[in-house]
Amino acid sequence: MDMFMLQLKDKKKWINILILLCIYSFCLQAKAKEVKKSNNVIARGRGVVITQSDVEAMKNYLPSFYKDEKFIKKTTICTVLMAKTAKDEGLVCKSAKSKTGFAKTYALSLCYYNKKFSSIPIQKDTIQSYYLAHWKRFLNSEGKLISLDKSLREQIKTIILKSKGKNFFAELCQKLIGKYGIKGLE
Amino acid sequence: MSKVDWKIWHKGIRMKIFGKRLLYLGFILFFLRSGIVFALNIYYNEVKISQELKQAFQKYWMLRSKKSIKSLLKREAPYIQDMVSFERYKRYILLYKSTIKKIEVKKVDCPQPFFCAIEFKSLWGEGKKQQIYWFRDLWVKVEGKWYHVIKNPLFFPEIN
Repeated sequence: MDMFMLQLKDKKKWINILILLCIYSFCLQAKAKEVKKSNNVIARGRGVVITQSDVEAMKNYLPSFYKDEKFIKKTTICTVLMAKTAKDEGLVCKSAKSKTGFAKTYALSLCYYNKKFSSIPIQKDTIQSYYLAHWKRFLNSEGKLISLDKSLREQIKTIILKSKGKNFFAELCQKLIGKYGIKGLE
Repeated sequence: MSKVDWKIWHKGIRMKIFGKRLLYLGFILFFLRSGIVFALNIYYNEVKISQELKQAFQKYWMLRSKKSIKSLLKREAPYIQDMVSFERYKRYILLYKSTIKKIEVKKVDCPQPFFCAIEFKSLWGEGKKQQIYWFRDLWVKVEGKWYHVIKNPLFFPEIN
């Protein structure tokens, strides 16, 4: 009988330990959730974490009519990725030197974007074909065609780059998302 | 019929059937590749046009009729190839759902030796449904080669 009582006591002890363990694990889980909520990680990748506070800071740099949360989130991710790449590559960025926090991230991302954008190769044929196809725009007061000199080449290059810029940001962004293996984008 | 004879006979029949099938398939592929199926008649009505431009024009509209988008984009002016994405160009070309049957060139105007406008009437259709469209096609000569110039301010505002 005593032996039986002892076994029963042991069982009760183990059950109590089990209950305590369950409560402890629930507490841990709740705490983890709370931590996650306070950090508000919206996306993460190799060596990068993007939080909700980044998104909120990004809103200050976008025109107020941008309301689409998905778009703002993606732009934030791209901005952070560009800044990180600029930092990793040791890009010299004067405008970022005196800044801190997200302002620095934004300045770095701009430097990186401008560097990449200015290095887009524009073929000689591309500029020449634009000049010849739009010849009416390049007539002087006597109705003669202005020669395609260096300054005119630069002008045409700017026009072409401007139109390419729209796709360029999206392409660059997609490349970086792939490079860092970003997770968290729907 | 012995077993060996039957095997030979059976193989012969198989060869005949599949041999013919392959031959037909070969013919179909040849026609598709050569563009004979997509017969496009182009009439110039005594309009003066240089041989090089004529060839470029014919090739372009042949490809347009076949809707060979990759090859077509290569025939657009280099700045268009650079500024317009393949996807948008594809969407534009596929706006014209039917195929071109006939082209009648009405006028060729070259204000510059490197720039010409070809005005033409085209007949598009599928079966009984046929439509006539008028085009003013622009062409530019770059480094000795004629290229097509898309002018559609609504679809491609950035290149106009």
